[in-house]
This record gives sequence, C-alpha cells and structure tokens, in this order.
Amino acid sequence: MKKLVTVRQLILILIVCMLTLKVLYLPSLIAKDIGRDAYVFVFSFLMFDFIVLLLLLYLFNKNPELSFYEILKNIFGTVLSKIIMFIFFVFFFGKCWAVFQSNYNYLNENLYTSLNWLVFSVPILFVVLYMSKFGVNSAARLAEIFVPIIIAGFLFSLFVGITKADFSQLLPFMEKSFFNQFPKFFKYSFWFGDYIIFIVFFGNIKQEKKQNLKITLSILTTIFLTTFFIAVVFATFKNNTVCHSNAISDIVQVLSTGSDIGNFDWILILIWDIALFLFFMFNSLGAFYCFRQTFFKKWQLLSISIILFGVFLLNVFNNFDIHNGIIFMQGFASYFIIFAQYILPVLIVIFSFIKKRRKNAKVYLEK
Amino acid sequence: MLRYIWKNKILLILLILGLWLVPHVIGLSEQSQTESIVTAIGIDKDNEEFEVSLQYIVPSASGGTEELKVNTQKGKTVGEAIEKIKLQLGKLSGFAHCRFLVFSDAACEENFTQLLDFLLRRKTNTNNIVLVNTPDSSKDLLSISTKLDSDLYSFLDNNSSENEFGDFHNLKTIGDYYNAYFSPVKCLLVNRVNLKQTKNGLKNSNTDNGGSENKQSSSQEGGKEKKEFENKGEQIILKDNKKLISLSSEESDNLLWFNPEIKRDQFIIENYSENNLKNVSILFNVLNKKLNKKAYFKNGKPCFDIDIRLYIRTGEIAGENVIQQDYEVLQRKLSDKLKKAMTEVVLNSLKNAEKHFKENNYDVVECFNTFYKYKNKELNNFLQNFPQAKENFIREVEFNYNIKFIQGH
Amino acid sequence: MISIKQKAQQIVKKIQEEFQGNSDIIVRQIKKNKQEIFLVFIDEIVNQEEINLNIITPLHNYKSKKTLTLEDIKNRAVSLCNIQILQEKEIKEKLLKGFALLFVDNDNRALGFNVLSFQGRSIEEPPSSTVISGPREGFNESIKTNVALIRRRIVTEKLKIEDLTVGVRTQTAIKLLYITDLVDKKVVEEVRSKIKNINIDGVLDSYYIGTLLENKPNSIFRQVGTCEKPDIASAKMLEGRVLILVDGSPIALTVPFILYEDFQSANDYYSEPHRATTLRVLRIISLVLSVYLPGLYMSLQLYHYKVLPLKFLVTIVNTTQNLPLNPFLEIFFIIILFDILFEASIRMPKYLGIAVSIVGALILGDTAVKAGLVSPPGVMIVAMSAITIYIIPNQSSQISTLRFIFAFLGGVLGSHGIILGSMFVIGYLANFDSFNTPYLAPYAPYVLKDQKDGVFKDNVLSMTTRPESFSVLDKVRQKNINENSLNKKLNKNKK
Repeated sequence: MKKLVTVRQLILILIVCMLTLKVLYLPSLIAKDIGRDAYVFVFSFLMFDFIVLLLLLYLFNKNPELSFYEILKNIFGTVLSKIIMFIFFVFFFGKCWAVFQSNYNYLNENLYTSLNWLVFSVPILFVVLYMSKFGVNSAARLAEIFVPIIIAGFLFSLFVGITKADFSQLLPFMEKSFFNQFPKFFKYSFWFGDYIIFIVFFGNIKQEKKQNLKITLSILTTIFLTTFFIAVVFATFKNNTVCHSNAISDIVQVLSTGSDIGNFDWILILIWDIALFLFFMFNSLGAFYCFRQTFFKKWQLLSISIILFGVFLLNVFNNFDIHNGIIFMQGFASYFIIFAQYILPVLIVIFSFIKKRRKNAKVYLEK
Repeated sequence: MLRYIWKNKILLILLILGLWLVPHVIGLSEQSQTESIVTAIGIDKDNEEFEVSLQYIVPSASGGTEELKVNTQKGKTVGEAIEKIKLQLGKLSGFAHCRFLVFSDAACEENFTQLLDFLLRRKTNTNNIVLVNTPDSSKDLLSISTKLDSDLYSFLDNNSSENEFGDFHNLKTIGDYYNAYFSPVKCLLVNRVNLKQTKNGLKNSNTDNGGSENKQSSSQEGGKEKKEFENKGEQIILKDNKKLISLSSEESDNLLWFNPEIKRDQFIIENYSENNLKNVSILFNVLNKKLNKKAYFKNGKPCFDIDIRLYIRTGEIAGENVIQQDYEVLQRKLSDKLKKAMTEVVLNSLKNAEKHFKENNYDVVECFNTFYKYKNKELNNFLQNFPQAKENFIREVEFNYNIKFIQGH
Repeated sequence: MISIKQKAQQIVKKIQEEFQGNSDIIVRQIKKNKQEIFLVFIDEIVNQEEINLNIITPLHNYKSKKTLTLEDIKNRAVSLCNIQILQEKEIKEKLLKGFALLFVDNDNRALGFNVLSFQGRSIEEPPSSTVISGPREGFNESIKTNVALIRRRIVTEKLKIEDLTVGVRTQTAIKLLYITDLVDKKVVEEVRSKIKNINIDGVLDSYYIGTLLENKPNSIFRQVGTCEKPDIASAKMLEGRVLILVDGSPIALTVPFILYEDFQSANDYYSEPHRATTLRVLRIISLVLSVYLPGLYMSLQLYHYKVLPLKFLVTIVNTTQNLPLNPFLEIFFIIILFDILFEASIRMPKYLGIAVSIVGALILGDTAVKAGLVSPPGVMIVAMSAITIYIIPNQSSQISTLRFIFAFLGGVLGSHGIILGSMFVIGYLANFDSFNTPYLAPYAPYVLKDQKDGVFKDNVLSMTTRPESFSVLDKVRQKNINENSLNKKLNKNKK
C-alpha cells in the first residue's frame, strides 16, 4: 500500500514554510523602506499567497490521484510541462540557496562566535541527502513531530511581544498612501510564495473529510498571526527595528533583561534553527522532484546529490554572505519570483479550466 | 570489525566525522578562557582621546569567589582603546554579559553615538546595555566594586525595585537611546550615579600607571578611604547626539510626574492646618498613578491635556501634638481643603517641570510624539504654516492639567 | 533409522546407541504374560512418581490374557491424561522433550506419555517491571506456566495458540498467541513465516527470535516489543498484537511495536490518570535530559558561553579553571567512569556491593573533583543524565548509545550539531515501520483518537476503542454507558 501524507502533515508543512523566513530578517529589512506600516503590506502579500493557494487547492481537488507533473502533462503536453517544471526547479533551487546562506548567517550571528562554513555545510547537506532517500512521507512525519514545537515557540515569542509592545507606535496609520509604497514592496516577493511546496505533494495526500476547510482555516490563522507578529515587532522595537535582524528571538530578550536565569532567546534560536532546516529540506525535496520530472527519473540519489552540491558551490562562490544574496533577491530575481509564484500558477489553473470546458464541450457534441 | 562498520553506515559516517573534527576539538579550550567576561564599560574623554575602562571578571583559582577588575587604556577611538586592553589582557573582550555603560560628562559633550558605534557593530546583541552617567570619572566609579554581589548592577537593581520610598528612575538602555535618536524629538533621560568618598582627612591617591588594574581603595599616610555609589536622584538629558543639560534631583522629581511608568512617588504638604492639626507637614505616598494624555488643536494652537489620577496614602504627619485620632481621620476621608493643598503642590511640581523643559527646549514627555501619532494631519498643517515650530514645538504647546486624588490602602 | 517391525528390545538398543549410551536414558523392562514391554525415559526431566503411579503400577495390575497392543495400553491399561501414539520419526524428539516412551514387540511406533517435569523458578515479580499497585506475577522460563498465566487472563475461545519449534540443536518451543477476531491476519502470517524461515543452531532466549524478526537488525532501535508480565502481555493482545513466548525465556515478545509503548508503564493503568500523566511527562523530560544534557553542556562551554546567565557562568568558570582536560574530554571521561561503575555494580557479589558504592562515590564524587581532574558541574551533569536513563528501562541501552552520539555531536559541532543529530534520529525513526505500523505512532502520523492514552492519559471510561494506530478487526472495546441514563434506570428500579 502506498504511504500517503495526511492533511495534518500537509498543513504543518505549509505553516512551517510560510512562517520560517518571515519572522527573521524580514521585519528589519522592511523597516528601512516602509517603516511601521509594513504589516499592512505583509498582510496583502500573504492574501495574494492565500488566493493562489486556493487556486492550487482547486486544481488538486479536481485531480486528487494525479501528481502535479501529470496534471501539467494533461493540460499542456510533455514539452511545455517540462519547461514549467524547470521553472519551478529554479524557484525551489533559489529558495534552497538563500535559506542555506541565511541559516549559516543566522547561526554565526546569534549563537556561534565563529562557525567554519565547511563544518556547517557538510553535516546539514548529508542529513538532507539521507532524508531524501526515505521520500516525502518520512519528511512529512519528521515535520509533524517538530512543527508543533516551532509553533509553540512562535506563539511564546508573540505573547511576550504583546506584553511589552506599545501599539501606539504603529500610529499614524498609513501616513504615506498604500499605492505609493506598494511598488517598493515588490522586491520582498522572495519572502513570500512558500505555499508552492504544495505541488510536491499532489497525488500523495490521503483524502479526508473537510480537508479544504481545515487547510483554509489553518492557513488563514497563520496569515493573521504572522501579520500580527510583524506589527508586534514594530510596536516593541519602535525605531530600532532595523537593528533586530532576528526578530523572533530578539523579542524574547525584552522579557529577561538582566534576569538571573539568563535570556530565553537562545531557546528560540535553536527552535528556529529547526525551522530553517525543515524549510531547506522541503525546498530541496521540491527542487529534486521538479528536477527529476525535467531531466531523469532514475538515479534519485545522484539527482539530489547534484542539487545539494550545486547549492553548496553557489554559496561558496557567494562567500556565504547573506547580504549579497539579499541584494540579488531584491533585484532582478524578484521579477522571476513574482512570475513563478503568482502568475504561473494562475495561468496553469486558467488553462486547466479552459481545457476542461473544451473537453466537456467535445463530449457534449459527441453525444 | 571493518565489515561491521561497513554494514552500519551510520557508524562509518560518525567515524569519518570523528576523524575529521575530533582532533580540532581535543585542543579546544572553553570559550571563557579565550574571551574575558566584561560586565561593564566606562568611557571618559580627555583632550580628544577616549579613556576606556573595562570591568571584567577574574575567576578565582581555588573555587572561591571571583573578583572584578578594571583595566583602562586610552585611544583616539573607543575601538582602539579596547584593542589595547585586549593586548594587555591577552584575551578577546566578550561583551555578551556586559550590563552597563558608564560615561562621564566630558564623554557626552558631543557626538555621543561615537561611544556606542563599536558596541553596536558587535555580533552580540548590545541593545540591552544600560546607560549610566556620572559627573566623576567612570574609571573610579567602576573601581569601587570588587565583587559581583556589590557592583553597580546590584546597586541599580536594588534602587529600581519597587519599595516604599520610591523608585530609582527607570533605566535606559542603548536600544532606548537609538529609539529616541530616530524619533522626531531625539531626547533621552539618562540616570546619573555619583561617587561618594568618605574621607578620613587624607587625600586620595590612585596607583594607576595609565593602564594597570585599579584597586578598590587606596591609602596614603596610614589612612583608609571608602568609595561608594551614591544616588542623588539626578539625571541628564541627551539630545541631538550630545548632552543638553543635567537635572538636579528636584528637577528630576518634577519630571517624574509625567512618567506613566513610574507609579510610586511621594510629596509633602508643609504648614498645613485644619481642625486639630496646626502647621503640620504631611507626607503622602503615591501608591499608583494613572496618566492620560490628550493632544488636540484649539484655534490653531496645540494643546496638551494631562489627566493624572493618583492613588495616595498618608505616610506621615510631622508636627507638635499630633495624636492618633487625627491620623485616623485623614485616613478615612480627604477634606476639600486638603485636596486643594495637595493639588497645589502637585501642580506646582508640574508647572516647574514644564517651565524647565520649555526653557531648555527638550521634550521627554512625549508631547510631539503624541501629536504625531494621533493628530498627524493637523500637525503637518501646523508645521507647514510654522516651519520653525518643529524644533521649538514644545514651547508652542499649551499644557493643561487635571489632577484627581483617590484614597488607597 | 529403525527398521520395520522389530522386537522392542532391539528398538530400545538402537535408541541407546543413538544417545551414545548416556547414563540418564533409563530403560525399564516390564514383563506381562510373556510379553516384554519397555519403558524409556530421560531421568532428569520426567516426573518419576507419575510414571510409577500412573504407568507402571496400572500396567502391572492390568489383567489380560492376550498380547497387549499400544492401543490397548492406551485405552485400558494406564491412567494418564496426556498419551499420544508416536510415529518413528517423532520418537527421538519426544524423548528429548520429557516424554516417557513405551515400546512393544512388532510395532515400530511408541506410546508417548507427557511426564515432563523439572525444577524451575517460581512465579516472581520481575525486577525491571515493579509496580506500586497492580499484579506482581511475572513470566518465568517455563513456557507452559507462561501460557497458563495468559489463559487465566484471556478467557475466550478466540485465543489461538500456535506451536512452532526453532533451533536445530535446542529444538526450542515457541508459541504464538493472538486473539483471532482482533488481530490483523497479515501480521500473524508475517510472524509465522519469519519464524519458520529461521534456520539457526540454537535459540536460548527470546532475544534471538526478536532480532530475527526485525526488518533492520543492525539498528540501535528495537522493532519488537518485550514484556515480562502477563497482565501487560494480555493488555497488548487485547489491543490486537501478537504475543510470542519462547521456552526458557521469561521475556515475551509482542508485535507490532511502537516507540511510545516504552513510555507507558503498567503502573499508569493501575493508578489515577493525573498521576499517570505527570509520570509520562516526567519520562519524556528524563529522556530529553539523559540524551541531551552532556552534549548541551559541552556545546555551551565550547561554543556558546554567552548563552549562560552571568552568575551560572561565573560558577562554572570558577570550578573549571585549572582542569587538565578540556570539556569534551572531561565529559567523556566522566561518562566512561560512570558506565564502568554501573557495570561493576551489576556483576559485583552482593556482599561487596556496599564497598563498591562507597569507593565509586568517593572516586567520582569527591576525590576526582578535589584532585582537579574533573569539575563538579561536569559530574553533576553526567550523574543526572545517567540516573534519568533508567526511568525508561526498556530503552536504557538505546538512550545510553544516543547519549554518547549527542555528546560527541555537541562537542564537535555545538548546538547546531545536536539539532542536526535530532533531525537525523527522528527522520530515521519516521521511516521505520514495525509490521505495517508506523514506529512513531500515534504522533507521526498523528492519530487524535489515540491521544487518550498518549502523554495525557485519560481514565478507563474513555478507553472505548482500541488504538487506531494498529490495524485491528474489532475497534470497539467498551460501550459507553451514559451516567445519567444509568441513574435514571436505577431510580426507576427503586420505584
């Protein structure tokens, strides 16, 4: 019997992918450009994500037994579907690369005085390679164990922030108009669109009652809590938000200033290390899945090794410097990311709808 | 055995990992042996040169108690001085446990952010380091304590805990400074700690040689001096990246009324007479304070209403022939006359504070911020009509006070 | 091989030759109406009194004029319950299993009497599964006694007992026990086929069978459950598991096995649910402490000293000032010392035990610290970790191994190494399936209905269904009686 991913596992994976990067660097980066109204823009982008996720969910519900590649093949044929899979491969590969860099930077700044990049990268790549041998199902079970801890850490940080936040710091609301500032926010598109990981699980999910409702409600709750968290970060740190490049753990520091039992922030740092690892693992599995569909379906271990080695080399080339990565992601790459995570899924869904109508029309004519 | 290892691939991987990494770890000593644990930084300025003192922990060798020592060096920048200290100590300086930064008046006369620049570029989060000003030398202040139990941190901690006799003003950190720096008003109140020397008729002499470790107390001609921390309740104002003015304890106390975070305080009514009480001084303890601020424009002029609700309790009545009965009467009900007297005293403090900050043009009462948050459009219109008003905004504002007293137990 | 239709004497001689003239092979000749009847048995493993009373005496007293056949003796002469007519090929096996064999002339078969009896351990409380309240009976080495203990608890005709034999030279008896209308037949089929395929010289303990049943025998995590008490074994069978009893071993095996089983103790089911919940939470905390504490301590000292609060850091720094070993070597040194002490205390004669504990305490607790070899925090950390291992006794060897691995990772890579190690271990376990049951059930995949017996234990009234994690034919365990309706019925009856 084929091992399937449960809806709960899928929800937890989507939550961890959507949550991980947004509560680290993003608040400090947005503070430079947009300031206290950042949570409005984050919310709007998250709602874009949610709408496209709903479209993908629709696509999934129409073809629950088929994988994403098979759905694409039915709509577009082999050649175009391979091109689309290649685009998604590049998308996932980019996310892997950036997260790998930011994980190194994150540990180097927050926990270690100095961390050798080789000592950091080899074990993490090895563990991901080992996990890829077992398949998506085992990775989903791994996430099912750890994501509740991550969510608990996030909620703890949020509650600590609420107790210390001064929400009047978010005023005046929208001092500069929304549409004036919105184009500036497009360069942060890399931090969104994590729901795309859903395509890796197509055809592999155990059908349950009310699954759509469960997924929708969970993702909406995550969106609201994330937006609230961004607002709380600004309300807590006020004008100093730019300095706090690790928002999730810095918020907890305000709780235990001068405490004899020390700062709790290192627990959050370790928890978020887990989240970054899971994010990296799922995106590399996504890259592997798309790579396999595009190039070769055999030699799975070789394919994933090539991908991981590519990530490693690219980071070495980039000197493991997150800031170069950020500049690249905010620049040229942001257009590609917007296309891959918003425009392309919408087009796929539209074409599937058109194809279905044509098919129905054909059947009707034949009758 | 080799076959067994080959079969258990995990064992093989651990073996390879071990062969690669263990030789490095075997030679690795604890981080605390390569980095000194700095608990405080003191910065003085002398003729364009910074004199930096680092207070660090020297662990005791035989498992007894540790000692605090101070090492001082001079340099053109703070970073340069710290590098020299590093060379002297033979260890890196670890600021992860640094709790406060003491700076003298000379150091903050101009370009205060230069003092903080080195710290802010460290990997460790230094935003929580408490800022403390001293009119004396920061080196001398740090040299007072030799034990962790009796250092400046425990002095500040004890003072700032809520006790019946009032708080030390709430402590400001580097993070608070930068918040204020990037806000429209750019003002910050910083606490001041003095050095108290109990002289025994003999002069003080230090045995420092421009960089060696200072002793807690020094003696000359057979006499001993004792140095202590002293809290006079004074503060200084940092504005526009430098020290603006220092506040005496009375001026600081007056400003406390505007601070919603400081709940406890006290005030005295002197020469009060009512019924059996004749020319007595009554001390009232403020148990709790609720402060509401309201900003609005009236006829194009900015107005700032402050509603203060004070929960008070009679602390002491000092005078001749005060009997228990009178004390009890006051506990039950406050008469109108008494309320009027109390209002006058509090209002006086408030007005004095208002006069002071208008004269010296500093806004630590969040007046501009309140207008900026809640009346943004009207504020922008006002500033457009009066462009210079932004810098002297506090002087344009009309303050109105409404004080209520509620008897607490 | 014995040839067809020989004289009984010749048959017996051949048996004696095959057993190389062993002195414990007793041959008793009985003459009955000029007929020679031979009784053969192994002295040490039979009940001689039973032979005398129920075989020899009745045979002597039986009056018959004709030559007795095996059927006659079986049906009329003797008064024993368990009598079988054995074929040629079964003779040797049954003789070795404690049967007394009776031979008559011109018949190559034998009449087998089950008179097996030898000294064994009585039913005692097992040392590693003690309870404060609840049954204290434990399995012993006799498979017959163990089956009897199960039969006493599961009184249903649906209880199926299958006999198997494993071991070329030991011919160890194995019994498969399961409840036919609960268990998944595929699991039974898989267990049966695996046991039948075992081709081993000898089986001396159930551990051999357990290892041979596992899919990944080289893994440090076991995939077959064990229990020493019949009440636990019965409870597991009632959840749809298969029980395997091995002759000569007091430890029974159960399949399928999930990791969380070892966090449940028999005491949990015989005490209040809130107490059980507290203890289960404590067990998980103990697991975390025992596995992670040494590694975390090392990593904090070597890589992340800034995480420690100032006063604690100063205490550690004061005590680790002049040690000759760095934290990595110090912790491993203390762990090895502790393990040596534990092993010595198991094998030491009891009268020397007190001396060992004093010496151990002095060496580790006092002298080593004063000599400046190790630091007090290090000793405390390792001691805490060592003690907490035994809160989950069934997993003690696994936890001990993991402790070493995580200490190594913590020292070499810091806390990131510990995180990666955890990912690796959990990922490895997530891939395990024990007889089609996920190893990390009911947490991965998460099964809501099984949480009533999870970390937060509910009372017996809520256990209305069997665990969803196992494939069981009949899910209903208890029909829920509504208290209100019960009270109404009782009131009606009163009226």
